[in-house]
Amino acid sequence: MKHKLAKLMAQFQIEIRMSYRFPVIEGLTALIFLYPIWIAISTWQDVNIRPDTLEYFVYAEFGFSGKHLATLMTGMLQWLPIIVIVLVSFTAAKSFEDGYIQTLLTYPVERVTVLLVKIICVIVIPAGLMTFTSLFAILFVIPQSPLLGDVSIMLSGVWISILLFATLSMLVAVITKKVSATAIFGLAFGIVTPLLLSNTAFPNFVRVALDPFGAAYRYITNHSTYLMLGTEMTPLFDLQIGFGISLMISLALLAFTLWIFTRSEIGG
Amino acid sequence: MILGIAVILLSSLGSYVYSERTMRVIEENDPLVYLFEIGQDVHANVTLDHSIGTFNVYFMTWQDANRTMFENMTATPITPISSFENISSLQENLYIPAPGIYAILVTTESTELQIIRVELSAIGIQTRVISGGVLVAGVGAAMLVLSVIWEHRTKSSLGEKAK
Repeated sequence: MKHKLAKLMAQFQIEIRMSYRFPVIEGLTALIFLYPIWIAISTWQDVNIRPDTLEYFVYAEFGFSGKHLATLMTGMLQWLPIIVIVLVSFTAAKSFEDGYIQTLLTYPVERVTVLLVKIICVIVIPAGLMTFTSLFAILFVIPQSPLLGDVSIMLSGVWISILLFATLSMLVAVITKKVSATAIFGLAFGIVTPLLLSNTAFPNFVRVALDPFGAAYRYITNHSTYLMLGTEMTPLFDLQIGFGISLMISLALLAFTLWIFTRSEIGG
Repeated sequence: MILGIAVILLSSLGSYVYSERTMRVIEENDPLVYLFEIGQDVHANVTLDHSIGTFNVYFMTWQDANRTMFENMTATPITPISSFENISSLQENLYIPAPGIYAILVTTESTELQIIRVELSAIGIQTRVISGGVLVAGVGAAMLVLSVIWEHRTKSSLGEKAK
């Protein structure tokens, strides 16, 4: 067991040193950390004078929580799919293209471990940075402590979305073994899915399952009386069911990707 | 460390003096509540358009503002952070206890309509954001120093082994 763990840790070290060399992590951190923090700082420092009405005050606590978290999420929303797709393309698909995966397979580790380490890094690094950004903003930037329920929905949305994006694009990378195909499919999925899902004809839980972060954003902004997006409210129950379905889809995709990888022919 | 410094720089950029002004008509039974988010101290400038009569200004938390709304906009049920009563104009720096959401309530005993101008300007620096930046920069600096010490130790122990 100890030996297996040591081998796994060694595999992580190899992955980090080879795929996340300078300035990959530094660039990622700058994007994921500084951009949302800048959005939060530049928004809440404004002295917003508002002649308030009784209605605004009644919902004040929910409103403030939603408003501040939504500001932070706006900074993350545009980067989340792109970052995951770029990471999968350049850490997994590229290693198929340039033959580096063959070198990795010569090491005394199981095939599954090689791909699993890549998938874990692609999920944990951006999701961990986004979690750190959120906690930093809650502690130091946004003026009012947001509601715990809203924070947990936001973080669940981040992790489940990244899991879904990562497993789906990793499946494409393993099947096509091409950077361009992975990137094009990932970007198409990231751009087209939210547009398609904006059609209210789809049941709520389907829309949540295929775009968990977008659904979390919609739920949180609807908590805020100041944003008044005019979008329909996603009920909490649909959000939970959708998150569950998304998680199951991701795990199924992960298992299928690993199964395909163990049976596919690598190299010439 | 670089991230921490970047956060400090961002907060300085975000701390540029921003002001907002508004003009409202108030009378005896129609006072005014302004709600604003702020991360730094604020300068308040409240004046009457024709300098006739007096008014009261109460600076409070948003929870207190909430209470005044339910009590017909009087300052009776609350403990304001600062209050200025029977004044004809106000030019004051309001020192906020912590970053957050605050409100000012303007009331008057005058039965006549009064046109009031309110101008709020952010002053000073966003201390909480800067302290976060300092913390991140400090952790980064400590990690840098530790990594240099670790590298130095590894090199010297390898050197001793070689001897």
